[in-house]
Amino acid sequence: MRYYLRKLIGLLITLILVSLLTFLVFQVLPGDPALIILGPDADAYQLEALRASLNLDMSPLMRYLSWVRGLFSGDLGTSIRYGQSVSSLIGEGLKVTSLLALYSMILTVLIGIPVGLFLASHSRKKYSIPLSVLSQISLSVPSFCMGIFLISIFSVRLGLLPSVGYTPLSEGFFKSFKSLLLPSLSVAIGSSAILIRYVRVSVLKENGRDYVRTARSKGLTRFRIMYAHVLKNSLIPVITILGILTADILGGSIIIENIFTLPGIGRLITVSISSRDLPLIQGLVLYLALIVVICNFVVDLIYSLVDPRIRLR
Amino acid sequence: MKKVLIFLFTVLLAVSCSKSDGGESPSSYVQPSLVRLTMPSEPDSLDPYISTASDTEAVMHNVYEGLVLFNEDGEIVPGLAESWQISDDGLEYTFHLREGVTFHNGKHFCSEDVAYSYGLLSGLTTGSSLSSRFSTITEIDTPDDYTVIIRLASANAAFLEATRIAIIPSGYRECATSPVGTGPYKFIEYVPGQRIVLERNDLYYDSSRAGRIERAEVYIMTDESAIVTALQSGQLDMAQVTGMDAEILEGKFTIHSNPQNMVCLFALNNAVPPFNDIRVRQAMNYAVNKENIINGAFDGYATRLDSNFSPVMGLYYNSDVENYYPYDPVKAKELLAEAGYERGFSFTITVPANYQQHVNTAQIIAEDLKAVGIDARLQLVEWGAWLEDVYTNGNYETTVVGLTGKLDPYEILVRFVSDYSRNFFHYDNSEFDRLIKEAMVESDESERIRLYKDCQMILTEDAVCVWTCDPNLVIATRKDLKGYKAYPLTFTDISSLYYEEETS
Amino acid sequence: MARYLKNLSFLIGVVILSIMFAMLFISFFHTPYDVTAMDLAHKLERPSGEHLLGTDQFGRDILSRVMKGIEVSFLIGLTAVASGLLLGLAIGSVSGYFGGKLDEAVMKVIDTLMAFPGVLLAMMLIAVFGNGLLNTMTALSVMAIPRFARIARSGYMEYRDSDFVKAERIRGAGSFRIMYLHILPNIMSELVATASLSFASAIMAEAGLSYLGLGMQPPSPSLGIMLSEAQDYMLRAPWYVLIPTVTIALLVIAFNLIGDGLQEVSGGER
Repeated sequence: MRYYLRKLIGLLITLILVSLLTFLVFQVLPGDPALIILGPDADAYQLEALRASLNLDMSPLMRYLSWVRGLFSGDLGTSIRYGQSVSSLIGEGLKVTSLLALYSMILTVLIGIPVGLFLASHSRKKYSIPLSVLSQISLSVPSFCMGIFLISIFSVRLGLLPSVGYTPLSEGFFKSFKSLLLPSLSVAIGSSAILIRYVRVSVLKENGRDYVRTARSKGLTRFRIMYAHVLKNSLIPVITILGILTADILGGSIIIENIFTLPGIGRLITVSISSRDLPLIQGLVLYLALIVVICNFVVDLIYSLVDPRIRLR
Repeated sequence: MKKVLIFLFTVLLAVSCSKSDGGESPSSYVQPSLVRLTMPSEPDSLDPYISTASDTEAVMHNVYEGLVLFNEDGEIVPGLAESWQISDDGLEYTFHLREGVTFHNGKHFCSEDVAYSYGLLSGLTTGSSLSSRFSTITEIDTPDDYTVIIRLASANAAFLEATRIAIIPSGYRECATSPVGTGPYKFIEYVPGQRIVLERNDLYYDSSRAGRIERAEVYIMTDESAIVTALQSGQLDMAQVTGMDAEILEGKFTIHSNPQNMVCLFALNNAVPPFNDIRVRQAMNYAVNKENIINGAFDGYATRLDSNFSPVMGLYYNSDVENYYPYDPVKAKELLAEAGYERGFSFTITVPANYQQHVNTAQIIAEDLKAVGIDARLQLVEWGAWLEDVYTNGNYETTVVGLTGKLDPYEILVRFVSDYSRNFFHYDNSEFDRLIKEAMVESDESERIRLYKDCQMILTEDAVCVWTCDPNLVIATRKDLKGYKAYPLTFTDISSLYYEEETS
Repeated sequence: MARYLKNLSFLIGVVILSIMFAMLFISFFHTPYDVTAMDLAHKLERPSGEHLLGTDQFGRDILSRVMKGIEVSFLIGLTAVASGLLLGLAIGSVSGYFGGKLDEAVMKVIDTLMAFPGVLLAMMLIAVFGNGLLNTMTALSVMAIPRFARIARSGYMEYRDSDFVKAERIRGAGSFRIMYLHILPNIMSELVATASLSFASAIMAEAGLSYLGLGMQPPSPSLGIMLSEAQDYMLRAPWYVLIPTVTIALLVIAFNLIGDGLQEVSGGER
């Protein structure tokens, strides 16, 4: 119990640090949100009217403090750029991004773990060469090239899958799944290649351990050794990297969301930074910090389940 | 377990890829009563009195209408006002309103709506004006339901053009979230980051301007390659594309390419050395090869400019400025030597990083200047930083940017008036200031035209900037989508669009 | 060394890397064309005898730009990975080996860093110090630290209670000795794997920053700038986007293969 309490306090400190840092960054960055929204054609009257309606005429510190005050009552404030509540904007974005993350992680695991195991157990055989070449390529091709490549095949050439926009789940699972299939695939190809590497490396390392030799000399089958012993023990680095990957995707893949015009978290991040939307970026940064911290926490938790030697302290 | 998952996934993939699900696939066109188009940036505000972004206006002008409208030639035509008179001193405007017009929310349009709208704009009812263009209004009179008289404190020849601003229903305050106007299309929804949806206004009063297509979905799309692939895979019916992409789309799509009344320029800060020396500025004008910019940054889809006016401005455009500074590096070197810079100098071009075409222009300029011994470094900055440092504070050496067009010459040229707050060129010429002020109160059309033409010539003679070009607005439409109209202002006229039945 | 060269992965990696190094070396003295010289009459030309890798949107020679671009990428990638690895290892090893309060405090800072969007972090550094090569490198180094720190930490957590560490402790070995002479070799393979991956992400991040106008400034030929410029011509001139992509991919693959090779050989020793 004390463990969880300490984690929680730690989490709060992280969040405060992150939010303060964001606030300071925005004080240093040049750029006036009202002018950015209205652009060069705005005259002084229009700017004044917009500033007043956005409460931008308050001093930055006052705005920050009132934002913090709102935070304790669960109010993340109103976005400057969109004029809507930050929590509802993040909620909407999260619907898209979390589905994208879910599909991507499923694909990543489905591709990454079997291929990684295969490569580890057949490290010197002929299938492994084309497979590792493939995984090397998918690892080193930038995700936007991968995205555009997939679009040009599946949308433009074959006309099978849409290349833009997101269909909400409410319009039917298949339609929604379809609208996210290409983006999740573009994410998964890159991240499964990372996963493959980690699975392979850690299984190979584990294979060299004494207990495997002992097991083998006891006459256990290769398959049994792999699944009963090695896989479990080599999971730690794999889980670490899966945690990092999940946090990465949930943090919003800015490039992928841009290419596929998905209204997710990544898009909100770009807009909020470029339009100096302090309430929105504060909300997003809190969300991102939360995601990373939760992912790390879950990773730690799984560690202790997989390897009882690592205890939660 | 894993095998089951793989199996399930394969099934999902197969099902979702198969064309038969629901009978709809993205490549087969949907019913012709829908047009799907794009806008390149998030709307700044749906409230017509707050919004200034031309991308927003291009869409929302289908919803909102003003007392006057403008046609494809940029001429003012009757809108909600059927006719109007301007007093000889230019201070009193009498508008005779159209009868039988209804707002999208069902309210009948009459003079109280105009009084309400102009009351907000001028600040007469609220205490603070919403725009400098309406701050000079001193009185709004409504003698009857269909007549409005507006009085100004000082004559302003640009005022009539300004009355194209939206009229909203009296007492209505929700325009920022649910816009209500009188236009041929009514607002349905705005999903931030995704789209604006409009539907035809079946009660529109003027059958010649009434919409034909029932529904319009405007997608907010910033990525150029995403737009091209969406067009190619049949997910869009119409979109703005780059010249380069137009060449790819040609054949499958109809390409419309028209000047858009934008002024792209290489701005020089006239207040800092060496650009405070007119000879240096002229040398820059001789040294930059504008044809290279048009071909290299705009793929040839642009019109050369030599002053701060696009030829689209018609009567007001001064053609005498054309080719005033032909490409002549030798002459440029002479002028530099005369100014004491025979060994050249170095300076920074501050470029907004989000506009690839401006970045490309700056790279070409830097290369051209290298040939005359000038060393230009590029510095890419974010748009927000550009607006603050360069545009508002005028704190820069040179920059490359595009200024969006206006229908009234005054609004274009006022940027160069010495005491204008956004004169980021730091240009100061009392003769120019005098001519502009004269033109603003001049009621005689031909005299006004002469004054504005003189102003353009002064700008060119003083080599305030290196004007480069007016990039074309390139629009790709589906082959069977007809009726596209180009305007000298960013306006995507949806009402004129219609689908042609395929004859084959 | 000969043992390493017999390993196929290692060999291929070294060969690719040598070619890259050769191009980099030659580019110091000679490039076929001036890297910024434009020739608009010959823009976006396919690879030919005149221009071996074709020309870009300004008619600049792509081969020359790639040669100079490799230089920039190496500089940025190596700096980011080296400083990220060293700092990350230092942080992660201490944190993972000693655990306790220190671990918690350090991980808090690392979590904060990781939780902070990389773009925002880079923007902050660049807003304060201005853009350019040095600041891009600094930003990318800072962005690389957390990943190494976490990997190192989980490695040290795994080994700190293992038998050989206990044995060393009984023999009276100091913590420093145990951490860097005994535990480090065991987690080196993971760190190397991470390093080769981070090299790739550093190059990609450089592309991302250049894309936002925060990294290198055009017309300087960084692979990131080339990639983001070429993106606009993906449909019209596919080879243009392919060349920086392939160059980056080859750089990354070379590092990966070398990493793999090192692991295989040292794994075989045990």
